[in-house]
Amino acid sequence: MSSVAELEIDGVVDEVLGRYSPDPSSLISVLEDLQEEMHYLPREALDQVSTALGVPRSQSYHVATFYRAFSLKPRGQHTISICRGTACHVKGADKIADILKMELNVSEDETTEDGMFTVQSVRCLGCCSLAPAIMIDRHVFGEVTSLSLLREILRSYREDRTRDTDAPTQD
Amino acid sequence: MRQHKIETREHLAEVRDSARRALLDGKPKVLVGMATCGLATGAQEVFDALCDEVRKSKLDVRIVETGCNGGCFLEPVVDVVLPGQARITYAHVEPSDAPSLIESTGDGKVYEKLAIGRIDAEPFLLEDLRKNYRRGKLAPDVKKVPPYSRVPFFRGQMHIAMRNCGFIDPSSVEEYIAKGGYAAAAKALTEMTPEQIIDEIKTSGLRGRGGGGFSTGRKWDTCRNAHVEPKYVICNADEGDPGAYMDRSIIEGDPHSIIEGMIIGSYAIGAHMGYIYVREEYPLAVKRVRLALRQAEEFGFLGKNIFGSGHDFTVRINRGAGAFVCGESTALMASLEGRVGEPRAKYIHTVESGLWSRPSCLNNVETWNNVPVVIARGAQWFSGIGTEGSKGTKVFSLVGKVKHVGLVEVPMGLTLRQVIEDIGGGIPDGGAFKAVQTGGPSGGCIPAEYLDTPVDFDRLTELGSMMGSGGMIVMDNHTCMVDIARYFLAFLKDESCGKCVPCREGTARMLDILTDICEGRGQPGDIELLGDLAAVMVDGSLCALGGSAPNPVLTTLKYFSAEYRAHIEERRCPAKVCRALITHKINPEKCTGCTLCANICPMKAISGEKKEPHEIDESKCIRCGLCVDSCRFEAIEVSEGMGQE
Amino acid sequence: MTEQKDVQFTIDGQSVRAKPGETVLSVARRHGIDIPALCHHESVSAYGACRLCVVEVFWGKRSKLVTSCIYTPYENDRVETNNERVRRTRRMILELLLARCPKVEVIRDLAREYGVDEPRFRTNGAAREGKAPPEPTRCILCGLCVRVCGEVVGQHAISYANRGMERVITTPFADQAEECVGCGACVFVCPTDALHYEDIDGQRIMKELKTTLPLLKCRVCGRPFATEKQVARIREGLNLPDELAETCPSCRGSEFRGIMEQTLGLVQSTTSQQD
Repeated sequence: MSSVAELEIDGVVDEVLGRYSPDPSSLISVLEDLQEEMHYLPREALDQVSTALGVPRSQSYHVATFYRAFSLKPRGQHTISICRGTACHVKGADKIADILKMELNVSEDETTEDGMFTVQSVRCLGCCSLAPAIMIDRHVFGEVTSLSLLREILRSYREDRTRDTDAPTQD
Repeated sequence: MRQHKIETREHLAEVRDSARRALLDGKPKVLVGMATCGLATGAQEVFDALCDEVRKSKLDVRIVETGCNGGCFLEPVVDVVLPGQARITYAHVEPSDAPSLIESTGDGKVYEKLAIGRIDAEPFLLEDLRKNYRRGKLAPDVKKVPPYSRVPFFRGQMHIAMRNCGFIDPSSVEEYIAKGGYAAAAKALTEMTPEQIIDEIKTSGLRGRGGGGFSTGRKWDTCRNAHVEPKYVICNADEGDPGAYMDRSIIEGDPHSIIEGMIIGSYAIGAHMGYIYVREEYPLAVKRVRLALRQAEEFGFLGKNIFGSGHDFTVRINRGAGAFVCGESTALMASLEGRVGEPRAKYIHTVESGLWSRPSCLNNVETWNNVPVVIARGAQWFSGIGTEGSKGTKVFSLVGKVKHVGLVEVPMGLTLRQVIEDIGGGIPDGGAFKAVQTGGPSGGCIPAEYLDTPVDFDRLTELGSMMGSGGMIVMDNHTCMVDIARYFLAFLKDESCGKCVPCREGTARMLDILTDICEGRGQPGDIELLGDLAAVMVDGSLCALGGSAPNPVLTTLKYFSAEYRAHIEERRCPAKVCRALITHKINPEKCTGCTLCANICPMKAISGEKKEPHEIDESKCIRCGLCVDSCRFEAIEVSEGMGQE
Repeated sequence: MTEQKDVQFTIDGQSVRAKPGETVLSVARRHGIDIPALCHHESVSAYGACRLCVVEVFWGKRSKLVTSCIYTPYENDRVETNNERVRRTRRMILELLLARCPKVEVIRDLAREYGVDEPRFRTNGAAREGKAPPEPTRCILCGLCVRVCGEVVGQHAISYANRGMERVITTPFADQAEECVGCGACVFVCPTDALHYEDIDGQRIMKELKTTLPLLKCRVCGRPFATEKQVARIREGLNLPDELAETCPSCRGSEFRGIMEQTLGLVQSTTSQQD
């Protein structure tokens, strides 16, 4: 489980805050960048952001718990998102979800013991021609219809621990 | 290289002409479809292999990244312009095909193994122009490749919104200009008054493509007449309907088209600030928009005094954060303000009081994308396409149990059958059509007897569904309609913001009832209770999420009531989907005792000696179906009913 | 758009007038027409969450249900506050609320008025998952507490968290809230008695808010009467002298009448500045 020392949090938050105007409308953008950098939103970060943007802590907390993009608990090194779009559902997303959770021994929104994977569902990746699909970090895997294929994908991530979690979308 | 701003129409025309010459430079060109779905099928590896080949061969061949042309079932797709001949579309290209593909291209020949269609002229829709690739006669191998007009998937389509997708490199603003881009904005800002622009949009009959179908011209008009400053224009790129990805493809393949539309709209309405709100689940789209915005600023299409008109306009991009409800306009605006996506009552419309209580004109991606077309080609031309009440074309995502899965853009008024069977190729694997789900979670399931219904804003609504944003999910006899209703409710319950009682509590209670029905605990009175709940959710919910949440249930109840009865009264699932209402049994006569299923069963519910027929312990079996998938002898039978009761 | 003049319309056939910007609920109540509205309170902004105050408004050939707490009428609107469509809607909302909060008397009473004795919904979600059913909540998420803390007290100590059925009202991180001054306004305004506080051993315990605050003892009688934070706020906000601020209401009495009058004069001028 990754967690960041307080001083580091401070610095990261300051840097991210510098990218946006210091007012309440920047809240979501700031939290998104923080989520991407730290893989979760530490409490201290939320407090710091609230003060800097002039937003009540209760509002920041509501925003952080309302939107699925945010996590108040540290996420694993890699986030596996199971697509729950209609096309994927019709082609067996439920089954993939079950297999994946059994294989990794986790429930929804939980992280594996070794801290490698967090499993979550997302509403639709828009890769309907490849149903059923899963996304690991930003990489989409289509037509995941067998346990062996799934195991292969997971193995490739385990073996290559330096595998790119994909650059943040900022250019 | 520092770009000089383009400040006049003449300058734009000059840039267009030189960019066009570069676009059609008479050299062989290879375009690789690299939108999100292309990348997911391995297009990056194909692209890299092709680049490698070109380097090795030292041929003068350009390799370009492009967007999705809609043929997702063909991916990875590679188009090749054979100079003096035609443009050939290759499907299912793999890295191992690179050497042969490049060699053929270098020789000016078709790589016949993968060729599925040809285009004879590069279209320039905004100028009503087509530039033939051909000089002289078509070579026999090129002629053998069927033109798009004879390829079932492409025949019947009309690419207006997708005009540039698959034809340009979306990260090149010059290529966008080469296709006539920004000329409509230039014309609007220098030659037309805001009133004239709004008139043109009104006359064209353009209606919102995001699902609401409201008259775009009238919306702009009301916003223009709201005398409060500042005003905003917003692009809703939240595309939340599961199974719909039209907007994503437009953004990934042609991001400037949206910016140009917003420039025209901002001028017409009197707004100087615009926002593009993209779901965060679309990282490539976000990247494309960011780059396009920077480019537009560098070229002077955004910023101050655009085309010397005196109009200033900037656009910012905001990402969503994983909430379907933020596709609703007031929730989207709340999110832009840094708040949670809670809708508010719309007794006063957002065009009068929206973002920060200012007049805000929110339109969908496809709507903004159509605006330059209307201005460039005229309202008369645009309104000649489509039906009486629904002008123009619509992009649909045709997915699910259909042979040709992909994005389809057709004139409004084509029937469901034409889209699903003619273009879509019908149901694969010998299945039978059962229903098509349109309109996402706000829509409903339409059965076979209505396949000849024309698709437009109004006709599908009459059937209890709606066209929505364009999602079209085809279902066959292996789909359980009760399960589908349950699926949509589970989705909506998860996405409900929770503010109002009818939606928050109603979706949860509806889901409870449907889950019970799917798991064999349905009770008499359940259908009536669902109906009572539905009526109040429709009437009493704060926003359309709750207000249209009952639609999937209501349409499936209307058209597939027999299935509900089977689940409730007979505890069986005719489509053999609902796990609690089916049984897995090994047929001892077919089982060879290969033990594959026993090994794969996650519950260790299958027992048996090697080479002896195996048996499934029904008390442990969770009906996940992994054994059925693994059996090579079709020895595991799935039957309806709960087995031992 | 609402114009700056009175609006003439009808409620249940009766001809009435709304002041500019006045809601249908306000006009109805002025005329003694009872419309239930659990998430509404005069001291805070309208929210439109419970939907109980819905009425049907007719104009031309069309009609729709609107929440009367927010809807401002247009000229010639015909409003019906108690027809079948309205009652059916309220009935279901109450049935849903009763299923959520079976122990809340005010809901049970209201539900009975609309013909609901027991909800038809199966509340066996937890049982289905093999878990013990949780203690039913008393909170209907009306948000009055949130709005009073934000708009009136100005502390924003509490707000919502999560969404959908997971939605709750809480302090940040469900922990001691530094912003809370223990004034008890949230407890006062709650329509379902879902919030409580207790004063024990010189501490005010805001139970559901997981927040405990030290109480100040009265200078005169020595009894704890308000939290230190609340007293500090009032003292600063109204520029009160310590003797007055730190004396409990019972003890202030006649001795400080002069100072009170002086302070009230101050209060009038400060509040008009604060508007």
